Amino acid sequence: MEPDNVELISETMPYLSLEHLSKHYTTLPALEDFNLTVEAGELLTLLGPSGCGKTTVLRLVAGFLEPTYGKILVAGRDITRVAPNQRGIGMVFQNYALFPHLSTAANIAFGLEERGFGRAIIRRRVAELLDLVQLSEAADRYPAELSGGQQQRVALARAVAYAPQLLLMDEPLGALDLKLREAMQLEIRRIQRELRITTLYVTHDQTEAMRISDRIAIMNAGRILQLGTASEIYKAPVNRYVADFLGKINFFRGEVLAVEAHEMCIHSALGDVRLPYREGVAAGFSLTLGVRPDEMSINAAGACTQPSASGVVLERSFLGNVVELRVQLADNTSALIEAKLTDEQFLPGEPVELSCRISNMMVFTE
Amino acid sequence: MTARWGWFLIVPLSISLALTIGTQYIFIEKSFFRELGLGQTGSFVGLANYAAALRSPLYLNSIVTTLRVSVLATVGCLLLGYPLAYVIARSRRRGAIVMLSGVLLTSLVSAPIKVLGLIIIFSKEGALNRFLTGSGILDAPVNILGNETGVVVGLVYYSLAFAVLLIYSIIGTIPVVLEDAAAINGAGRVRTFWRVIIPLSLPGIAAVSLTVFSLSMGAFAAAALMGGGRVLTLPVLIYQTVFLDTKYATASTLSAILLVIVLLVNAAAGLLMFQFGTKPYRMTTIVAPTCLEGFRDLIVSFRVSAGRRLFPMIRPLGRILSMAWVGATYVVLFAPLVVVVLASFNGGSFRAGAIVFPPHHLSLDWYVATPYSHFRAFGISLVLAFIATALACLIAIPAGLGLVRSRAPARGAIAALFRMPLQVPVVIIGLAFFYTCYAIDDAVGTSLAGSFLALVVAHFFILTPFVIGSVTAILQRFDDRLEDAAASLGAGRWRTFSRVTLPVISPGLFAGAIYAFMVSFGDVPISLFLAGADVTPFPVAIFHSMEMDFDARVLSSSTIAMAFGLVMLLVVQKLTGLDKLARSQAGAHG
Repeated sequence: MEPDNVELISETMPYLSLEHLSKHYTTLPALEDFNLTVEAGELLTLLGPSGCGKTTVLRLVAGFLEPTYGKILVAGRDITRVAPNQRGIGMVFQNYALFPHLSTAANIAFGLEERGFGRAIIRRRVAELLDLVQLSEAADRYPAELSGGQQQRVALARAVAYAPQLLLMDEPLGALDLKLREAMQLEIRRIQRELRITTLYVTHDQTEAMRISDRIAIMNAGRILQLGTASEIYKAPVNRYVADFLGKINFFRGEVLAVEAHEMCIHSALGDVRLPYREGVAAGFSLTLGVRPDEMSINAAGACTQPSASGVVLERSFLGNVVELRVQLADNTSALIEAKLTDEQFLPGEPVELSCRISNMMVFTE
Repeated sequence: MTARWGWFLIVPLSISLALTIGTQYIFIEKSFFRELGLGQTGSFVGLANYAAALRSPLYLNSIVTTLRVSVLATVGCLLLGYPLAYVIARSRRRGAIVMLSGVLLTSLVSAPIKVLGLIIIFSKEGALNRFLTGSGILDAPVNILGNETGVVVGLVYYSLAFAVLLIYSIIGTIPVVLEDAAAINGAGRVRTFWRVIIPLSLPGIAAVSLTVFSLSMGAFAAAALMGGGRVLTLPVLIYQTVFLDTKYATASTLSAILLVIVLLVNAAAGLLMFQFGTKPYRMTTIVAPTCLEGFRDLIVSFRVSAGRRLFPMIRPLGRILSMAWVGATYVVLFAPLVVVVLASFNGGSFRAGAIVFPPHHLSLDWYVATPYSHFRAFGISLVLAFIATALACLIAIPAGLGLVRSRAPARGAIAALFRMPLQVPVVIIGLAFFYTCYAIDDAVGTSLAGSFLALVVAHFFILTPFVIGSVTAILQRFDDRLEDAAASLGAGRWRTFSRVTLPVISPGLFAGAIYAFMVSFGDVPISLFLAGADVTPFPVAIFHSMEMDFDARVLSSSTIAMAFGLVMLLVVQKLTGLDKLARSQAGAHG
């Protein structure tokens, strides 16, 4: 293969599409009728708790598992029955899976060698990649002699060495400490954009998902609950589970008192509120109101004019940019509030009133 | 804190030093005195015996033959064992346990019994030759009994199962994800094997080869019986020199030469491995030849690499080939045992001529007529194995704790000393204890020679490395914070040991103990030197019977012994509830 082709591959418009993918184990939870499309050049993250099936999806795409049924298409080509080494996919493994008996440069060169590139091309490409991940001085060192962050970058360079059409990343930053993880998130994003590689990324860390993804798929129990950009999901979660998984949220039980033309009147711990009508809701229904902690307003008791809930400050934690308060409400539930406060405001034990703008309230009917 | 662990080493170390250095010194010393024959030695002659031995064509030939058959046996074990070990290590849990059990079962069968099966298979009138000549594949029957080929085959049988267990534990240390990484980087199955598995297992494989080589160099029963007394390897020659020629000084000289050869090869290999060891990618640590991971995995049923898709990744042809290879290896492993079991039901006359395969008729004649001496020998073997194993366990706990926890100087050397009984060819250990018994008897008037006590001490000596190795391995993985946690919860040192440390290491101790028990139960060379007229362990009884009168009832007695081994394995697994413990451990290790 000519070196120019290496560049060409990433210029084409491949995308990944999973159709009715199912994987049945004898014991583990199954993946059932899983459908997903990843656009060319996009970084899509599968986000979910451990055991939700996200790693199964990744291993199916890599070819380490065979689906019970369903299809995997890359750029329109069906690769469902293709062996992993014929798929032309790059992968960064959890804990990196670097070859301990090979130096940094040899690890990066491995895939190029297996695909029969010429020596000169390999040498040049490895040098380029070492430069890309800023490890040129460490070319001759072995994995055991590298720090965690360096190993991570070698793994990334190895995965993109032969300019694969598709990159898979399985919790690639799980083993790093927080500071390094944040730096590497930006680094991965930079390299992924620079190479324009379609990427399927798996993590259970919501901040990481929000920082690096074009789109996020929230998964639970082998299904995608919601697919969208971080802000779409954060602002309009489809259900309580998603709302709770991406970001913090307070839930309040509500009861529908009456339904009018375009509005419904709801009685809740935050007082009686009027919200836009939801399909299928009738008087007497129970539903849940959700409010993000930073959308809550807090006032001294008696100072509030709008519908509000009264309570007592239970805990108060200074988090730097904001103060986090846990307030005990009259009905013995509690609510979380994030606000910019002075050190003297709302100390534990003080009676307070909580309120929230109607437009910031989410309604969950299930 | 670490200082006190050093004290744990004192008792095991003194015992080990006394038994190793003491016995070796006594036998080597004999080689410096004039040979008078009839077990007598004369004046000090320095190295004259060595000079004579190395000028003798008989002895020189024997040295070359021993080296040649040992190298061939080592190569054979690797070729047969590596693919099988790889498949087991990468199989799904249940399959792995079944396959491991098979290997273990054959490793626990005493050498004379395997040879018995081989003789039945390969004899001129035997099943194989009748088939080969009858079907016209060969004109004349193959004859491997009484020649070097036969000895190599016998030696491969002697070490193969052990080799598989060792290789299995080495491959288990190579993460499967590295194979995934190679695959996603474009490497096919063969390339992955060549570029990842082989380089990473190389140091371990070198260690295994060395172990198998040392085992073969000291193997006695397989060489003596398959060679039919015509292939004179050093162990066979040493045995004949002691018992037929009663030339004790000459036997000493030959043993010392054998010892030096084995130690030189070990040292050379050790230097080579040191090169590996200094590389930063040293991953498979140089495995002590005592690693019994396979055995422990079976006993406690955990850590068998779970749910690997070995087969889905291989193309159909490769899948069929690898399964065929594994299947063939099992046929090879089990054939002699199956033949012994089936032939034991032939019945009729006790003479050797009645041993035929396949049996002409089914009868329990030989079982009914099991000679009393076989029963007695069986009982002696059981008691002997039990006492020796119990003693080995007693010494293994402090030895393991001391090795792993203390900062004692030269821990590496101490560990090597504890491993010595495995490195020294067994036939030499037998000879050394034999001479030592006589030396002590002469000096203080005891009657150790031919006594049960001598057998117990010698067996204890060869069993210690198995139990120490197993305990050490599990202690190395022991999370020290467990003890800190117990202490913080108010447990004193003794309570911490009995409630936390001991339960956690007990699977290792137990696995080592079971294996040690079976090693003792199947030993020939040591017992052969030390057995007295009244105390003949079972394998020695079988050996004598095969070497001399060839009573057909050795078949039935051997079958009973194998059945006993099988039942013991099953009972141990059922009764101990170690599965429960294993599950809690698997949880702790993630």
